Amino acid sequence: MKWFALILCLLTFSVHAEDAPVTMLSVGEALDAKDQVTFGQPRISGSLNAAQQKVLDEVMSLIQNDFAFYKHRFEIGTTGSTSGYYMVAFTVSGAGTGVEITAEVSKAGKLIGKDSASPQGTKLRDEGHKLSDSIYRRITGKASIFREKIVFVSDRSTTGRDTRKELYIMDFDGRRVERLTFFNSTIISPAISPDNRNIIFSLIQSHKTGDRRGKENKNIDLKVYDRETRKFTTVSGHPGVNSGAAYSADGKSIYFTLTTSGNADIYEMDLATKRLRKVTNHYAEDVDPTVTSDGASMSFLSSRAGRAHIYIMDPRGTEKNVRRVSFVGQFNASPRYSPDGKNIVFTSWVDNGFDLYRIDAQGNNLARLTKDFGSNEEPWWSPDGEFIIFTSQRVLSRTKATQDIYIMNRDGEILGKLTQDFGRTYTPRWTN
Amino acid sequence: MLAVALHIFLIMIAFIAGRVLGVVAGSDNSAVEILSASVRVDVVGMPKLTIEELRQMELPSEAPQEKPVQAEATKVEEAKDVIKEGDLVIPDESKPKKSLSSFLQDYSSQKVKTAPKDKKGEKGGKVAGLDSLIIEGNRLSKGTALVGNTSDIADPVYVGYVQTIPEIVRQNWRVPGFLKDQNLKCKIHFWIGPRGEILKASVRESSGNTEYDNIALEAVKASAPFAPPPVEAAPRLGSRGLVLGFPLI
Repeated sequence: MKWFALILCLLTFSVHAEDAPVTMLSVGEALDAKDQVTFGQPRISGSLNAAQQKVLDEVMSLIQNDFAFYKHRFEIGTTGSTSGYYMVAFTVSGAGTGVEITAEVSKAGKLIGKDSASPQGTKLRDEGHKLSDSIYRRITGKASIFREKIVFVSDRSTTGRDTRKELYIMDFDGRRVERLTFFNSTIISPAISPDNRNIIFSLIQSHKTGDRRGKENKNIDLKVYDRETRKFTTVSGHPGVNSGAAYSADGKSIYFTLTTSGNADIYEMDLATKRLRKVTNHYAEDVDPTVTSDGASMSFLSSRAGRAHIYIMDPRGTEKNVRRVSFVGQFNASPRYSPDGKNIVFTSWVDNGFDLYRIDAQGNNLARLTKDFGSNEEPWWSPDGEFIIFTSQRVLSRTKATQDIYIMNRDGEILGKLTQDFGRTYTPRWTN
Repeated sequence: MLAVALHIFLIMIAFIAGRVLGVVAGSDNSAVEILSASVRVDVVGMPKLTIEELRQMELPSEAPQEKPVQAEATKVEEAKDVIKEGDLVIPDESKPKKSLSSFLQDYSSQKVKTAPKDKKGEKGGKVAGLDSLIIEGNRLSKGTALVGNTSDIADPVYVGYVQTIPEIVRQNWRVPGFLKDQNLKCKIHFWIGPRGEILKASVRESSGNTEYDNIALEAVKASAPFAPPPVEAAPRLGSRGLVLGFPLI
């Protein structure tokens, strides 16, 4: 009996001391540690003439400038010390009017890769950005934005009261601007195909009505520009608005707004057959679609709740899995899905202008990105999801205002202005 | 007499069975209880502050002697009072939860007093970070539950203390981009002594990437010493320890 009691006592004691469970807790999202990257001074084999030295200097500052865009990811050292976690060593030799550069990337003293480029003449910036991109890929395992381009609309060719908005293209860093269209008309809302070959846009076009007095009818048509053949074709010329096109993930179809039924709805058009399919079917206006890179979700703007709000849906059906994302904001516009489909950036009217906000696709984590920085509209994600380009307007006087394209990182840190004295710019879009 | 003996025997069986079941429920020979954060933020208006501004409030300064920074710090103190009953989207009903939140606050302020000087800003900032979310537009709701799966947590003092730990560790947990992109996960098990020091720390569940595991382990070690645990909580923290999931459990 005593024996039983003793065991019982022991057991109960041990229960108290040992049976408290181990507590588990989640730490949550890690803070960012920046990758330490050190660029070594270029080692020159042989000697360079003055022209070659100039090319080298230009390329080295281009690489520095490229990496500066990712300053939220990197801590860049340039001292030539080997203390950096990542070390990029350059060896250079003269080649014709340019140079041959080899960049060796090592991590903690161990060589992880080697890339070469031969910048010269008109290829200088292309080759320089290509080398930057190779180095970036070695370090992060992902593609950078260095070889991307930005397509936008500018009114700089306007003469007098005859407003002209034409299409332009430039490097991601704002350099080498090139004019693409000469319609002497207004271009709206361009988009670039996933293979970067075609640019689709809406154009305000005059059509002959067949009237004897030569009366013309204006319509907003959808056109495509082929960057290789430099030719234009009309994709959709339904009476009314044919606008706001976004390519599907495979580039075979587009999603765009049509007003033929008297009410703006989003349609999908097969580019080969021109067949239309209704994606939204609601008596409210549905406009401005963007699709995720896997094609499984589409964001759009709709007035179905009274005010303009952001919705997402499965674009493969009609009115399929429609979900409202934004519930606040006086007037929300231009919702743009991030390429990975996790976030949506949009612009919203506050006080006296538009500012940019970011929200996740579940409708949580609403964050403000811009403030006290003019009126900010037309956001667009970089293909790697790290940056957002947008237009920012400054009112100078009652009749004068500037509107330039800016780039910021995904958390709203503004990195700089990409256009300068280039008229008023609109609708910047990244290549993919 | 025999009946009594049989009774005791049955009770013993019950105890043993209970213990065995407990062991089965947890992994590696110990029962596990999961705590999850109780604070939820509901958005009821467009935020006025940008991400950059919120960050600056979370980490008020590295040089606390500057005047404007001090002003910001006091503003943050006042912000505590902003949580009024009316601001709570889901009003708090049960009293124990209320006392828990006050415990939480007690311990965080206690920590600020006892923490070494150079960490002061950081830890004060933690409270500020939470409160700053309330300012302008966003409101705090108390959430629906303070604890996770196990509802029988009888020890609010212990829970109050333990819940302050993850955010302290998180402030020291910096992961480089290339590792962050791989969506790794690991668990660190560590034991806290009566003065808040770490008695022992080890990787309980590896991510498969040693570098990632080490960064998490170092983050825990760099966070010590924690505030000394309350007397009621100390034995359990010393004997059973805590498991932190990086990033989630």
